[in-house]
Amino acid sequence: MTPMNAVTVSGLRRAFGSHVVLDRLDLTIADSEFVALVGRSGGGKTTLLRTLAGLGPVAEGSVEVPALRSVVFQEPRLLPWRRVWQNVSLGLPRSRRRDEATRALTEVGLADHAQAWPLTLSGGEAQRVALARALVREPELLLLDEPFGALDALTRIHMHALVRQLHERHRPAVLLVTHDVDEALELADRVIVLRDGRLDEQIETRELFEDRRDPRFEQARARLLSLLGVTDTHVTDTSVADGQAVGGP
Amino acid sequence: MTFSAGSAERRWRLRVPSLVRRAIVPILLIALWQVGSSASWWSTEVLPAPWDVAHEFVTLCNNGQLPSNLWVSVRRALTGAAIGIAVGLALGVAVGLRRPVEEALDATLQMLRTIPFLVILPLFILWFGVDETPKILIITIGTALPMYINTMSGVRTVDPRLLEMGRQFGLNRLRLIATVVLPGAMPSILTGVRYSLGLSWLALVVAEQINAQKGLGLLIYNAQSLFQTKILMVVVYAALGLITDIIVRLAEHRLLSWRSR
Ligand SMILES: Nc1ncnc2c1ncn2[C@@H]1O[C@H](COP(=O)(O)OP(=O)(O)OP(=O)(O)O)[C@@H](O)[C@H]1O
Ligand SMILES: [Mg+2]
Repeated sequence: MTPMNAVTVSGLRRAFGSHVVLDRLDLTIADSEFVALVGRSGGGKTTLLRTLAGLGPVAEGSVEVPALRSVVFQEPRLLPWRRVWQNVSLGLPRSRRRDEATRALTEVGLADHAQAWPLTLSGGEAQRVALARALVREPELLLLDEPFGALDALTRIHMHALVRQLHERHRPAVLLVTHDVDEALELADRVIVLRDGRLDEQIETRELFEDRRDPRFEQARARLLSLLGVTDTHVTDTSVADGQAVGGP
Repeated sequence: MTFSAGSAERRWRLRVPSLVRRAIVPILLIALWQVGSSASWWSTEVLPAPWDVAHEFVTLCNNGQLPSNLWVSVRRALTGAAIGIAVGLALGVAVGLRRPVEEALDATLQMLRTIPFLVILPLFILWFGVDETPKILIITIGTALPMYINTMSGVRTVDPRLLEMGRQFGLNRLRLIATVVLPGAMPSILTGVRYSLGLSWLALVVAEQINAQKGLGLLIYNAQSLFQTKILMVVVYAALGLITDIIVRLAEHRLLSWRSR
């Protein structure tokens, strides 16, 4: 692995039967870089993310990822029979469990829920626990698959601030899959568009979110929206074109 | 309309403890039994009075027959049930998780289940003689099958997304079973334990028809002429079943406490 890149994918191909989902795809993510991945529903974003997580086979092409990876799925996937702190410390060495879980829960603002049962948490709280569980192991690569898709708009804004703060503190490389163009622009250093199984276009957004009045912000937004469907023949995908988050399945 | 917090149902539940509410019907039945006997609604030849049965209980306790034989029987039933539950649990987890194991074993086990296990008793006597082995074995078989069925169906209902998450976070197979599979299947597993323990007493009665030199079966055999002893034994079996049921309920309460929010 090159020291500068956390992720190097080249020529990745993935098909389900005759349906080619990823087609000779190339992608690199630098250390500590925050990349957002947008694309049509069914375009293969989850397939790519699962491949990076090690959850899908690599039939063709090569994928280099760090050994320490964490995933936050669209649903929190907490074990309901384990207390919140035990969920966070899942898979850690026994001696470090309690302290590290407490520290991670403090970071996401849930220290006083450490002893709670997951079923008593709200949706946003549960997703913060999932975030704490992902970060507690100090991953070099953090994979987020529409982690805020099921949350209400207000909670999502809080989560954005939290994720940005946590990224600044821990500096993992991040791949965030999202339906929401504004979310992508706000959080990421770079937004990439997945279309027809390949990375179609990328937009550097590192400085843009600092100042939304910067005309380049609107340009980037308009460009992404058009890539996602407005000028496309598939105008049916209006939810994406509007820049709204679509609650996935 | 308004909803008042103190509906009649709630007040009744708050004031009377659960144990008392559960005991009311059995106590009424026993009272009816005593009243009927005293009023000679039936002859004591048909059904002796509870008072006589209680008297017999004291006699058998004092001469030591009941405690020693009860202990032998309880140990027998629990040994057989422990082995049966362990075997059923292991089979249920293996079949529930692994497709090849299912293909190899499930049909056979389902077939065994349809055989009333009590009718194989004569065969067991033929193969294993008349001492402890066939008795324990028949209890083991009787308890292993319901345990297997319930565990397997419980393991099947475990959320595959949680399994994937567990693997993703680095749990090896054993830890995955301990932290995800067994807790996820726990409601079904406990149902299995309850069935199995209940069946173990039934299997015990049958098993002790084989040349029992000790145990509750011997007491029944010796009491051919003494009718109140037989009734007493019915009561003893009922009590044993009730006690095991209460123990499993308590375990359920503890192990599934995460479900009550
Ligand atoms: N296990 C599978 N078996 C067969 N087809 C699959 C499988 N997983 C995904 N697919 C197909 O691959 C395509 C890409 O799916 P994927 O979940 O990666 O899309 P996505 O971009 O994440 O969509 P969304 O934004 O709706 O979540 C879809 O057409 C889907 O039907
Ligand atoms: Mg997806």
